[in-house]
Amino acid sequence: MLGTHTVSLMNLDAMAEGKSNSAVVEQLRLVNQSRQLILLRAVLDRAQQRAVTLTPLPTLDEAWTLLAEVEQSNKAAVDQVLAHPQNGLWAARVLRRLSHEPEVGDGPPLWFELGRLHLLATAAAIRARHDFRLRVPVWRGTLMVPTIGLADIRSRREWDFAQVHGERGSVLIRGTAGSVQVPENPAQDGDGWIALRTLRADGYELWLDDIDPYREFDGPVPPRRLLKREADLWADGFHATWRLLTTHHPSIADELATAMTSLVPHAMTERLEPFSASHHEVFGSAMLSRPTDPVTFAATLVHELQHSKFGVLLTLIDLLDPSADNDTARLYAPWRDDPRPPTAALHGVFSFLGVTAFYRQQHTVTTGRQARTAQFEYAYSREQTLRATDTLLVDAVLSALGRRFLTKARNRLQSWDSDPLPEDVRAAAHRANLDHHLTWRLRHLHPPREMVEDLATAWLRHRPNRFTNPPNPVLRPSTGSLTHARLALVRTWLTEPDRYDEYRAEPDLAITEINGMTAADLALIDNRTDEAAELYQQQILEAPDSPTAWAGLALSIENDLLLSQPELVLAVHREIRSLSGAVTNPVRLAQWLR
Amino acid sequence: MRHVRGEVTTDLADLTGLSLPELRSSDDPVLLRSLRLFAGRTECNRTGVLQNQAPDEP
Repeated sequence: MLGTHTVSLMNLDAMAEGKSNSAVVEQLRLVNQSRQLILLRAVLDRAQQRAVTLTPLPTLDEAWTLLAEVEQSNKAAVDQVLAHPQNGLWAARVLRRLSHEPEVGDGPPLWFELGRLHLLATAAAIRARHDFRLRVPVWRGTLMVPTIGLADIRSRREWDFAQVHGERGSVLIRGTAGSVQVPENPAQDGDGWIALRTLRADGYELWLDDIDPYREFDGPVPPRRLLKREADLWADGFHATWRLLTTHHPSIADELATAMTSLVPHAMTERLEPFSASHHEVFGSAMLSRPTDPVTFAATLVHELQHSKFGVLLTLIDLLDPSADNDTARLYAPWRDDPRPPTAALHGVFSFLGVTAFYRQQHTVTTGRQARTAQFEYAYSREQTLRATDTLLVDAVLSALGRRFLTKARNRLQSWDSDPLPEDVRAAAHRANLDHHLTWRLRHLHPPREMVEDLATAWLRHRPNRFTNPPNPVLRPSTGSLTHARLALVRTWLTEPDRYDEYRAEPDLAITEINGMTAADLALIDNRTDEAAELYQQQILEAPDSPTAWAGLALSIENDLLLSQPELVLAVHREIRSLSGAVTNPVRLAQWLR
Repeated sequence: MRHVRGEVTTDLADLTGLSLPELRSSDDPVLLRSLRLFAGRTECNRTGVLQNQAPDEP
């Protein structure tokens, strides 16, 4: 009888305390391998039960037989192909289609989706130089051989097929409207052939995947080949990042080399930080915009590595009570502007725990501005992670293991509070976190309507404030995105102090260069709080619903109520405006309400 | 999910030593139980993307 995977409590505790290592990651990799194989078997069983027709492709059994033949001669080739990070997500999506969805709609036909098995068998056969013939699916004239490259064989049809013929290492792909000879070295581009790019550094290789239709999380998507110059920037950035990791964070480097096999380039967003994303069901691949420096690149890799590890861990054990509602977006997560479900917040805690541990080490191995920047990121992410951990401990329904895990994490994060850091950096990190939390409350929380009306009426009639402890505000998620100008300015203060001095001397320059920046923000970050308070009051007169202006005002005047329940002051202010048509002085109102 | 001597035992079959023909044809009870549990859970769950930024509103 087969055995089952186990989770050592010692390893679980180590993960909770940010002390994972490559042996733990190797175990998780093997767990993922088992899970992917289980899902593969399930796909084969379900397709057989449903007697799915794959026309124009041959049966799944034919593709499976080819895979099994290759396995006999070259198991490593099969293992590498079956370990492709996106296979688990593919199998999960196909299983759902086989179980639930009627075969209608504009998405890929089922035969095309199932045909990824034929493509995997083809990839294994090419890697093993195995002789074979197999018909495979084609989308918009292109055919991706997973882990190897993309053939552009042209087709007039959206969903089509091609015949692949491999003989003594020579591979010809014949489509309905064209053919491609795969280069003898398929890692190099050729006529009609686009090779999957590889990033290399000191023996570690991972794919830079800009072509696989299933490289993102909801495929298929067309190839978006990076220009050579951009690909070179990725290669250089990765090389420098790997040097940083192997020199100063060897344990993290070992973990990455064990787990991560693919990076998927994503366009830069207009936000301050690089974009990055993972998926619950994908181990070893992440989507990200190109980070501009090795430290940010390393922190991004750590962040996504943590998601990969945690996704696998959560397939084995429940840290949240599975009978509770873990999917409704209702919690504050300090790294996101929108409310998050407990499942995602828990993932975030583990991810930012890793990032915090990274910066805890990083700030000790650099000097000058880089050290101060790393100190800020350390203090900032530590406080974020601690707050989210506390939120989950109070507001999520945890399993016994979940409570143990988060308590260990909390203790660890708290113990790091005694690490010596410059007071100005620590204070800047604390203010940035408070700023985000205030803004989040102002955007998403709403006090009880009746109480707001009573308070507004009392204010207008010059009555005393009879405000007592209000019931909890109601969450009504707001839409729209924010600019985070104050955070950008803090980071400029740390990374480019000369530039920051120019901004102080010439505020219009900052306003031009930093999206959403105001003179009030500059005054606040410069600790000219009286001036900032005046300027924020003017902003509120002009734009009375601006959450960033209210948060700025709260940080400037440090009024207790504005710092603890800013949404109440805003709601009463808004109601007074609605009843009287006048914009009340926000500071006087906050003092009256306090 | 059970605790035994410092370990949590799980229901996921360890398939690391299994060949593909064995995977396809095996009626090992541990594998069949894993199949029921994990395939069933996957079919019912809608999991999602974990990204570091809130998506832009349309």
